[in-house]
Amino acid sequence: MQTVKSQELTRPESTGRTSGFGRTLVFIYAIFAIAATARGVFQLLTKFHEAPLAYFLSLFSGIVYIIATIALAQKGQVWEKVAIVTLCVELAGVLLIGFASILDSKAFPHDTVWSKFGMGYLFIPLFLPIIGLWWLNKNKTNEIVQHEDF
Amino acid sequence: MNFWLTMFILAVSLFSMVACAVDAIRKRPPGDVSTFSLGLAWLGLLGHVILSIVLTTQGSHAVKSTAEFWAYLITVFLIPPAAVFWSLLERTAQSSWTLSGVNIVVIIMVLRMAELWYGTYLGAFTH
Repeated sequence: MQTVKSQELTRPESTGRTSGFGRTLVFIYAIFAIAATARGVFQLLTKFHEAPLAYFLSLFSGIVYIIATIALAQKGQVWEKVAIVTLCVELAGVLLIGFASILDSKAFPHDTVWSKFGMGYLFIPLFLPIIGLWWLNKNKTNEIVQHEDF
Repeated sequence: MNFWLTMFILAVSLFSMVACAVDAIRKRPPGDVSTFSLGLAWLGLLGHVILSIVLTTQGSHAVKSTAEFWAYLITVFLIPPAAVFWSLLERTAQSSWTLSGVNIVVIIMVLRMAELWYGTYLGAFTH
């Protein structure tokens, strides 16, 4: 009985950055980490010569998603900062490649996750970093420190 | 690829997606109907894996890209168990949204696999 009670007391539930909606966010990021990394690796292995820049950017976006997934899932201020920086890089990436793919469609064939602002992925890559940054801002450190010092 | 198996997975996933979303809107963790319908869709995916192995040993292969087809198949097979595990760690209305989203991923990936196997999305409906 006592152990159950102490477990309940030490669990900072459903208000922190890594809880509630944060968990759904982590899962969406994990899906995109798999999708973008697999796509990048596959493209580099099978048709590297066709558009090396686009395929390296594909792989790069995959790595960004992997770091974001880990940073969003981990507690603590350091990971919070990593998450903010990574999501900013992600937003810059999707905007830059989005514009570049429209201006120079030859250098960016439509098969990277960020091409045309992620149109092939229902524009989720465009909205994801914005939603993520909103979530991080909503759960800033001063609010979660209390939970961590529990 | 078997037309009815693809249709079965799509139908069950669609149902599960709605059931999970209903749970989420009612601010509840995934209920029995939602979780078991996702489990049923996953059994369909298991059948898909087995059927793909059987068809490959009989000499059939994806029209477009065999490697990409198998990459999709293995990934889509692993995602639902991972999602259910993830949603059990913290059972809230948010886990219902996660499982609903997983069904969308399954639907998209099964359609893409049909396209890779037949050459066109419509191929799945005409074979």
